[in-house]
Amino acid sequence: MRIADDSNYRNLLLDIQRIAQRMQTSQNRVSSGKKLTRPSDDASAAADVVNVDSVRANNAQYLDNAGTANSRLQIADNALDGVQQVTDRIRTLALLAQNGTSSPSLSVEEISGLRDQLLSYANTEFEGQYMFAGSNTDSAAYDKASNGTISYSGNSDEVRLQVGKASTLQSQIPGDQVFSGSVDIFQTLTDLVAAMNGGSTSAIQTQVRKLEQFSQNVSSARTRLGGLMNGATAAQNELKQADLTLVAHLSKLEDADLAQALSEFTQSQNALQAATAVGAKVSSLSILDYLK
Amino acid sequence: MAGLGTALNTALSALQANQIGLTVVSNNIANVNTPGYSRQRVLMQESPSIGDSIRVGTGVEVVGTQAIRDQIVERRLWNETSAKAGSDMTQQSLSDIEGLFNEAGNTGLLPLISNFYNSFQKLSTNPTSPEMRQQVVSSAQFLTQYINTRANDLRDMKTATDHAIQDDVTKANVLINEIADISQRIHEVEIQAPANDLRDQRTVLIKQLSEIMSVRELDTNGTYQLTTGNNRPLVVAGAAVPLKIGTSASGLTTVMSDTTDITSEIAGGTLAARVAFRDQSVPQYQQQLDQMAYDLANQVNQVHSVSYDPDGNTGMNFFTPIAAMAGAALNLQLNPAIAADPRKVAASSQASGDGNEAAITLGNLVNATNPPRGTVIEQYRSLVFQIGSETSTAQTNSDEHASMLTQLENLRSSISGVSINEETTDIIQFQRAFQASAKIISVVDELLQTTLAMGAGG
Repeated sequence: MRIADDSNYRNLLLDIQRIAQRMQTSQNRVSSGKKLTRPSDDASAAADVVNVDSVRANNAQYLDNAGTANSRLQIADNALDGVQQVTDRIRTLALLAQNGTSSPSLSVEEISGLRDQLLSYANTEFEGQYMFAGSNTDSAAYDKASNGTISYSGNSDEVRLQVGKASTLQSQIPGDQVFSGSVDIFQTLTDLVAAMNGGSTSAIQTQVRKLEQFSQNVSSARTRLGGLMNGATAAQNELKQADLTLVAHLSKLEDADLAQALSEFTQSQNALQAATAVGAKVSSLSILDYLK
Repeated sequence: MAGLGTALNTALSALQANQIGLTVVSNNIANVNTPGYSRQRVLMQESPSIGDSIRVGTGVEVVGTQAIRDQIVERRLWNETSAKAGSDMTQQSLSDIEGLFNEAGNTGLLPLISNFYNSFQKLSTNPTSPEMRQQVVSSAQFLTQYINTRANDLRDMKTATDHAIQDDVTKANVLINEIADISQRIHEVEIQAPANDLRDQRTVLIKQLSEIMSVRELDTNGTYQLTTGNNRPLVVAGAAVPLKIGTSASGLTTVMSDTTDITSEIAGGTLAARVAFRDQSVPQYQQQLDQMAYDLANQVNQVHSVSYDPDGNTGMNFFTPIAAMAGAALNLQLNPAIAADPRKVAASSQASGDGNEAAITLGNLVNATNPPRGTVIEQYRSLVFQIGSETSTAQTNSDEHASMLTQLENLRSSISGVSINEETTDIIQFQRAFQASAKIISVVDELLQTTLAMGAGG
């Protein structure tokens, strides 16, 4: 083929442009640490990144929710721990009264104080929400009327939170399953005080049995809370583990292999030097240099 | 019998011919860097012989100059120029769309979609909290604004491309007029001799026109025709037939050949690339974005409108209802009543307004499919995949056409391009021939003097 002068320059220009482009690509990879800077770099990787990012964002929220559930369950459990201690004390006082070994008036006074303490446990608040009010978390779970009657003003909803794509976790136990379930502790205490004031041993005994029943109810509620907390912790661990896997996957999709990018950069640098050197050489070859 | 006079005349013709040869070489060297220049050769022919029994030649005559050009290669070069210009334009345009949907560096649409759905999950942890409600409203507003902006960007791209189509037609018409003028002049000049320079100029102009659209040339028996790829006339017998700009029923620019709308039949070049971008690429991404916005709004509204706010109100749409899919991305808007009062966000599925079930359901819509299209995020995923692979294909195309164009330009150069080495060799050739002819003249001169001296001495 006949070679005209402009072919040399045209080829040289195209080559240099291509090499410069490759050099820029590897330079970008090195400086940004990413091999995926635009969807066209790798369309299917870019699409996967959308997926992974979305799943990670969802999981982050689920993790938040599981954490919230865990805290709430913990708060409820702490309250029920207090409830158990108070109930034990009341039972002791009732037994003493039943055996006639204590002053009824002093005990009655203490019991009504403890009743208020139970009320405050039942109205445990966390981040402005009443933990034992079902889903009616805005207002106190139990209201004390002016005549001293305490009644449930929450509802029976078992509030749940989303902790996985297809899983929810109960984060609250409504008060009507604990404080006013099969035994209404507040009514029981009212009855107990009446029995103690009345001095009827058998009547006190009836209430003591109810107290024992209540204690069992609280204890089984705590067992349930424990199970739920385990569930929340398991969900948290699972989500954290899943995120680690996703981050690793994401890194494979978008992070540049630094060693590779650097060696590509060096390669194209060498190629550019070679191309310019050859170009300079070719354009300096002329018959004119060999004629007088 | 030929005498000394004949030798003198023969040598003179050689001097003249080689001088013309040097002029042609000089012109070739002068145009070594001129785009579209075809190298020329001097055409020499031996002069008629004279004499009866002993016939001798009478030298050389220059019958003309010839431009070395392969019209087939030129035409292939035009086609490739069209393909290259078109693929470059497509690549640039798609890159623009790609920029709109670039998720690199945690910016873009996806985080906003995730935040939006998650804001409902957050609300579910505390359905009456004013802060959580405000968060739902804000994240919805960020999302709608972002989608509106992207829809606007796409619409602007379409408008800008429409204007660029008009510019392309205007530029093409300037070239078509120039080509017609030159063709007319070629016709006039070539009654006498080949119009090498004018043909070179016309080739350059057609190459420029090819960047806008691919064209066909018919050059037979003195009639010259330039048409579009689909045989619509552009230049006929030295007269320009400019394209016209029309308006389609939908208000877009159309390209007219006389009264025929040829917009969709234009092939190659920036014009065809722009038309395809305006009429196919952009509408396709608009449609995808619209579909997403439409599904998103409908899904959320479906749940929200049957859910209850804390005051027990129900029947409220979360987004302003979108009547038609077309334009949904532009029209997506948070219900102004909710924007004004976040307490109207319905988080409960109970008439009492207590509970967080609706908030959870709304948050879980992130995973809700719209058969057969999949979830909103899956739709977005397809969009990102599509723009990524289309842009990457366009990039590959453009690179390939760059190589092919270079190859063809090299082929053209190998035929028509000037080689300094070759010209220099020619200089030596002509120079030596000139020197030899001059030598003959001086020898003949000496001989004549000898002859004259002979007469004087005798």
